[in-house]
Amino acid sequence: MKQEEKEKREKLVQLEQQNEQMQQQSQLEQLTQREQQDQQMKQDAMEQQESIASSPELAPRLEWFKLRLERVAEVVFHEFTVDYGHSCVLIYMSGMFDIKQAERNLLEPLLGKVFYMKDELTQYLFSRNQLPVTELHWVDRAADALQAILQGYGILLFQGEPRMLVLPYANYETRSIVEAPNETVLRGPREAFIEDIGVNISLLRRRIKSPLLKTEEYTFGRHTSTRVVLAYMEGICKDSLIHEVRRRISYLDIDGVLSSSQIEETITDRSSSPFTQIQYTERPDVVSSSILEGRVAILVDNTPIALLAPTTIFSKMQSSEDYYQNFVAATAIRYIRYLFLFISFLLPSFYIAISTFHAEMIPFRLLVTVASAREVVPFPALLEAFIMEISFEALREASVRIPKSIGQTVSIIGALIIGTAAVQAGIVSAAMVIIVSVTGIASFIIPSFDLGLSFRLMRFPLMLLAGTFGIFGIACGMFLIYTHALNLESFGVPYLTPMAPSNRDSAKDVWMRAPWWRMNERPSFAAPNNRNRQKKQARGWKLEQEDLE
Amino acid sequence: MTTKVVTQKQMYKYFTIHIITTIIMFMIGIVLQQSGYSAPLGVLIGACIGIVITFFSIAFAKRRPDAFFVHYGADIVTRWLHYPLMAFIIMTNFLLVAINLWEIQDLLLQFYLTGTPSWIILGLCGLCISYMARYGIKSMFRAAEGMFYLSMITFIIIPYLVHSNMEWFLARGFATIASVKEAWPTAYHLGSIFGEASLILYIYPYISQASYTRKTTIRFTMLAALMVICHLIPILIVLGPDLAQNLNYPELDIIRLIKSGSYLETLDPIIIALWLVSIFIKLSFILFVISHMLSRILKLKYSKPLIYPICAFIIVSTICLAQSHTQFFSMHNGGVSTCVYISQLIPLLYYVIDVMRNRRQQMEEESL
Repeated sequence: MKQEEKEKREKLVQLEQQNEQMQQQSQLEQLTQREQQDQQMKQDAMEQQESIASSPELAPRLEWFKLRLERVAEVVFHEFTVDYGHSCVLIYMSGMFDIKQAERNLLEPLLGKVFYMKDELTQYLFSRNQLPVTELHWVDRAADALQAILQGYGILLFQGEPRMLVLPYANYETRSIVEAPNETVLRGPREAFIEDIGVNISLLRRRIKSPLLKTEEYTFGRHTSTRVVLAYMEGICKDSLIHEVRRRISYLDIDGVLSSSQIEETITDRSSSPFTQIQYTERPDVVSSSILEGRVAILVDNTPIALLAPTTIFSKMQSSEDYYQNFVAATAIRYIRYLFLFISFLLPSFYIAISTFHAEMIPFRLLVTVASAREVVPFPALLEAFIMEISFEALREASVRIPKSIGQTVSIIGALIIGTAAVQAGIVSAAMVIIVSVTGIASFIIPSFDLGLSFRLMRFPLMLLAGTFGIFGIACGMFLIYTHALNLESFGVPYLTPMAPSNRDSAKDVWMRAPWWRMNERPSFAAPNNRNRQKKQARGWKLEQEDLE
Repeated sequence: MTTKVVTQKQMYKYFTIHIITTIIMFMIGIVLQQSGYSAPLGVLIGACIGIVITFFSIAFAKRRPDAFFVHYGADIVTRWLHYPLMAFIIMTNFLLVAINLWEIQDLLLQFYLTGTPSWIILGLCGLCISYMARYGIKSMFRAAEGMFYLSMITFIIIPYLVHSNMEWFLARGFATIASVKEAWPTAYHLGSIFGEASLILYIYPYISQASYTRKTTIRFTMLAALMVICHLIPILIVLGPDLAQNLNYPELDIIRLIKSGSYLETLDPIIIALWLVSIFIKLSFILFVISHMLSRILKLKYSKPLIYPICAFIIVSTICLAQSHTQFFSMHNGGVSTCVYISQLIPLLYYVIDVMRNRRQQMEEESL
């Protein structure tokens, strides 16, 4: 009996719960329906109002703008009347609009005159040579006017005139041009991009004063309306490359574009690869030279970093300093860089492999030294290396985040005190500290931060393979990485060009930094019919001199 | 229309690596056992055999340069004969990969990774080769192009580095002892390896500037033969034929004689590691050819999904292939080369039938 009662109760509870759920669901449905209806009504109202906003009457237009910019604190609606009785409204965002310029160039001349007829006023405002404003233009659609206001422009509305005057006095605080913080050079220019795309384009235009430098502008981000500019040299850059970049960015439909990395990840060939297939730089001289080589640059507003495509692993190993130094020194430094790339990538793994599996490779005296240093260490070489490498990575990451005032102290504590204490305590061997330090220094030599990061990340699985299979494991790991890199492409250009596939012309600037007078041709990814960079006999004067002698 | 992704330069570099890696790493012991001082002569004869076989393949491939042999072969000899013949070729290539993998794991287990289970080593090797094969034909040829100079340096540098250990009086043997009769077993053995270049037939539609393929074949075969001879001669002069014959890997012992100052005692693990990479490229190519043929026979759109299962199957077969070195050698000498020759000469049968058919057709047309 009791069980039956229990079952009945449970059934009742279940039924009640079901009823509640049903009620909740129906309420939710009703709410969503209502919301949808409200939204639809709002949209309809907006559409109606937009048609109203395009009418010549001032009052409904002003209402439309007020409705749209409701609860926007910084918007200013400056209403005034021009003699005789022409009502006007200036709308702008305070803090983004230079009101002083507007007063001087527009309001003062406008208010100082008398317009008997409306036509006189429109004639005065819309004929280009009347007002002291060079970039004067107007818009017909209210939505365009609204967008202009949000971008920092001023909009002037008049009674009886559907056109709206756009005042190009956007003025907001930007950072001044400073020295490139992450790509410093000794001899080259110091300038770096800033967050203002207009300034960044001017930095390029100052270097390439050619009408063939094209800057196509796009706007992305439903809410941010971020300006994105594709810069390339017409006739030098392959048409297929430009089309491909355009095609890829055309798929971008996102609520906000706040950095160039969003665009980079969207248009990159294989985003899951640890190797980034788009180069980035903060230096206008690097962008300019890349554009002259036939590459495409992508500049994004509010980002001091430009993207360059296509790219190869070797172009990421080149520093802008290479091209400002003597080519002999630059070539030597480039080889040191390649050597240290391998050291940063392989040294810990190599040490683990040799000390664990191939002790016969080490000369006897060195073997005794290493063995005596490792005698007190309780961990195998693999674990020891992992502890040290992870600690080093943590230290490096911390040094980026820590405020500058205490950063130096922390790095000294981390590197010197902890390192020495760890060796003295017998937790790690001195040899391992040396290995990790050299690896750390080597990783700073790689000019491209993202390439260095890729190798830093891949170092760990390689260490694991070295600790498990010795040099054979390293060979397998390297083979897998090589295969992966081999099949990467950046906008149709193989990532390991000019090594695999080999390309003798492009190799001139990879295995050595050829002197400028020998770099007669652009790399292979430039347009094939425009690869000549300079006359073949750039040093013809010397031949002439020799003939005379 | 298949994209012409393989250039002649890439082919030259790839097949040079393809031929020399296996011979230098694994075959030198057998070659010296069979021919002693006559081995270099055997290499030259073997290279000539390889060229002849490859030329037949190229001549046949040229008749339909844009079509795959696996496809059009059925039109020549009927489907009932074509598929068993293709299965035989697939099995032979399958065996080649298995033999090479067995040799790799044997070398590593003997010298470097003693006590490690062989299946782990084979698994890692399998992962490497299948990973590359999955990327398709471009991948192997590009890889060989990128590795070529590094591989060549490691191959060239060894004879140079051991020159101080050479016993020059032993060199007289090349003039006094060498004979064609002694050289023949080596020639027969190595001819099958040089003849592996006939795999060009299966990738012919991918080759650009195909009219130069013969010239390229001669170039890479000659370079490979030269490289092999450059290794055989120092081994014979340093170790002598008697000692070299009794070593499984005489090349390894030669490398161990290299002393690079007081920095490293021996370089052999590094050099072996670099050679392994070359072998992986070769095995990836054969694996790709197998999967490509199989996918065409099974009428699949892509060969990619077949690569991992085929590789897994090869690894299991390799584990079961031989239990000891002696067993492996007895199996290896018992007709593997003949099997390879047959698979390389099967296209010749197609070629003859195709030519005869064409002639008959022409005659019929003329009579009409």
